[in-house]
Amino acid sequence: MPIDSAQLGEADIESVLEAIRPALLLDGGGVSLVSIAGNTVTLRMLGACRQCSSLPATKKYGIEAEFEARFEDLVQILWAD
Amino acid sequence: MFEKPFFMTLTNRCNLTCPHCYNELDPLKLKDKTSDALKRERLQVVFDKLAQQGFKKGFFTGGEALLRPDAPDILGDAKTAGLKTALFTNGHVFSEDLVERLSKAKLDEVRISLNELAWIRNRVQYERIFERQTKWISALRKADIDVGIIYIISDRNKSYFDETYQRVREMGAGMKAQPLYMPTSEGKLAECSAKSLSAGDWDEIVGAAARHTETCDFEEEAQTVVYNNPWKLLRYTRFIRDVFVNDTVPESCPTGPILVFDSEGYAHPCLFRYDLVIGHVGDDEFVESASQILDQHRDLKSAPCFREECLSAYR
Repeated sequence: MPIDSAQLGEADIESVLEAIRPALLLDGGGVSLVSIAGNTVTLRMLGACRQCSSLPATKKYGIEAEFEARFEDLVQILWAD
Repeated sequence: MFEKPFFMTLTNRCNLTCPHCYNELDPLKLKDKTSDALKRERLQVVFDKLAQQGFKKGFFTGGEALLRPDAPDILGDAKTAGLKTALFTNGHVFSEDLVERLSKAKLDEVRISLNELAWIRNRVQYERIFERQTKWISALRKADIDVGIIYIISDRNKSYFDETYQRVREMGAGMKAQPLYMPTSEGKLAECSAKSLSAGDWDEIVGAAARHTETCDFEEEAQTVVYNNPWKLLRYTRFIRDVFVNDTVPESCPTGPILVFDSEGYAHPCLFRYDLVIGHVGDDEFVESASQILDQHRDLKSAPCFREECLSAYR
């Protein structure tokens, strides 16, 4: 269910990431939450994902799409190195 | 985990004539269907040299690679050289004897393309063809060979995507998808290509992949080796929906550059760029420095040449 960006908290973000992490872990990868500022969420890819040739697709169609499905366009994702 | 691979087309001969086949994308190569240029003795040398340069895995394909009587021997030679081996096949030529030979060759993976399933018109055809192309999965699994299925999404079989995934998984195999790409846009059959799917069709396919991801036991999923992880299928179906519905062009190529040997022994830096020739299997100098030569084509990573057929190389 979409939520108001004003209510967006770490638990909301982590709930999305928790659903994704087991899939990334299968290939030795992961994702972590770096920061939340308003409706902008900064994430960092971990482990094998960082060198993976599918990294752009993982970000756009794996993780960002998941946030869009959950929060529609209320969340903007940025990526930390 | 990334395992530096190479691709090798053992033969361009085939027992099928699929209208969507881009058998090496070059009609000139179809003229000679009686003999194979890649000789086993030479390949034994090549496998050793590639392994010495850090190549870890050979993907063997065709045509139909198993039409070569010595295909299991060649796969065994690659294994002896220390390479992992994966075989692409249409699944039609297996026999008990052949499975035993592949097992003795210690083949790691078989990947079966459900080519005919892209062309079904009804449930009866689906059942008949699905049974025919998957009936050797259990024998292969018993022989300790991992199996992956390639489902080619077409306008005719789009509604079978969901159940095929479930049935394949119940057989102990993984499944990836790719869109039906027609090398020519001419003729009636082109209407069956994945280009004909509507945004709603893609939404249903993405939705099915999302449901399989939600219900997946990821710890158990680790037991499946080839094409595991339904989340990747979800990621991929979202991607191809974006390409077909929104005309999106990907930012980068996930495979290029990659070492590809065609059935005449010429080496290319991409599965779909046969216009680029970087060497020949018979050239010692090339074979001994193939990895270095390949690295000179890193610019392919930025995908300036993306075409629809490339979608089959993504996952």
